[in-house]
Amino acid sequence: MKTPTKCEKCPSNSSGIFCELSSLEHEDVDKHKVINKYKKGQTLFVQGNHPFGIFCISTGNIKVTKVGADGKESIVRLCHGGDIIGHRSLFTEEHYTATATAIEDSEVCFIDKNFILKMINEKPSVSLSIINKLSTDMGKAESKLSSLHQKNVRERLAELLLVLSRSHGKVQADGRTKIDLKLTREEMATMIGTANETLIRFISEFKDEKLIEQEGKTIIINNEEKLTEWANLPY
Amino acid sequence: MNKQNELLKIPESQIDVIQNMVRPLKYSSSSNLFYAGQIPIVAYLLLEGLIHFTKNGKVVNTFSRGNVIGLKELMNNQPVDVDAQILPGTKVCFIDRSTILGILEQKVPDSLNEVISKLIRIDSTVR
Repeated sequence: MKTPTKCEKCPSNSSGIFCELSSLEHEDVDKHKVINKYKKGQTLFVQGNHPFGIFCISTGNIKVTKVGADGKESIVRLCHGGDIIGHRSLFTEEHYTATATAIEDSEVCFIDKNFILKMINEKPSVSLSIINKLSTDMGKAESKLSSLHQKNVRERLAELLLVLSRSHGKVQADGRTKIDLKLTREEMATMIGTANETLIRFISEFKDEKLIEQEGKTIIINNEEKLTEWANLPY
Repeated sequence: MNKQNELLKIPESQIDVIQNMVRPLKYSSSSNLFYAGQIPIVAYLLLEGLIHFTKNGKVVNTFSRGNVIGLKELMNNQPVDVDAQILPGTKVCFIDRSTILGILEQKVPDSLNEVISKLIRIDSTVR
């Protein structure tokens, strides 16, 4: 058997669900996992399919989308290194309720259900890490829901840019933050529940006010303080 | 069916044994099981319907009932050079790595153990 990349050497090991395990236990995970590279646009799983394990992202970015009755796709979650996906459907024994697609070339490990359930039974640190991920996801979902109900589009866009800056931001030498994630305007619009045209109008407004700048598809945050004000964050 | 596909078939009696171990599932729509350059994340036992292997959009092989796909590649971390597409209405059993390791680790070899040990040596993608 060829040796796959070791969990211990994974760039996202410190934030993954197996980070608390010993070297010997990591070897056991290595034996059971399948590591794959997904090119931009390739799907990890599709809405309606049956889950048979979880996906643990090593590098890259994955979007989780739902298709509505009108056929429109909306992004419900963006995942990156250290995140796991497919776990909710696995534990609820439901079919996948969303589709996971690579938005850039990504490296993802697959761990089968039998092994993950064995780990949950035997290693409390793995169970706690999964509970932690589920709780974080739930917190984000609650914030998103309240934003959609209570905020206007300008506030929601400001909040989205702040969230992306925290998850994918790279601080440059001049102090500005570059969002290292290429999303289309359409994808961004679905994330804040608005029309493409409306989003473009507000992006122009943000640029006019020098809150952000654009280099091609990449967004650079110039003024995080003002953006936080515009986002109307509760605290 | 070509000779290679015949080698990837398991006997009817063993199909029942596997069906008792892993619940079969039916695909209602067409879907990609894996892409060229990837290692299959599970092995697939085909119960009903068809799975196509495609290369550059062209169908290069078709599998039917009894074929086990991706077993050698899964257990050897060996990427495949084709896309696998499952057709609507196709019923399969997913055999994951833990299940296969469990079968192979059985101290007393039985017929399923022997069948799996044999299939692990056969490429899914050679035509």
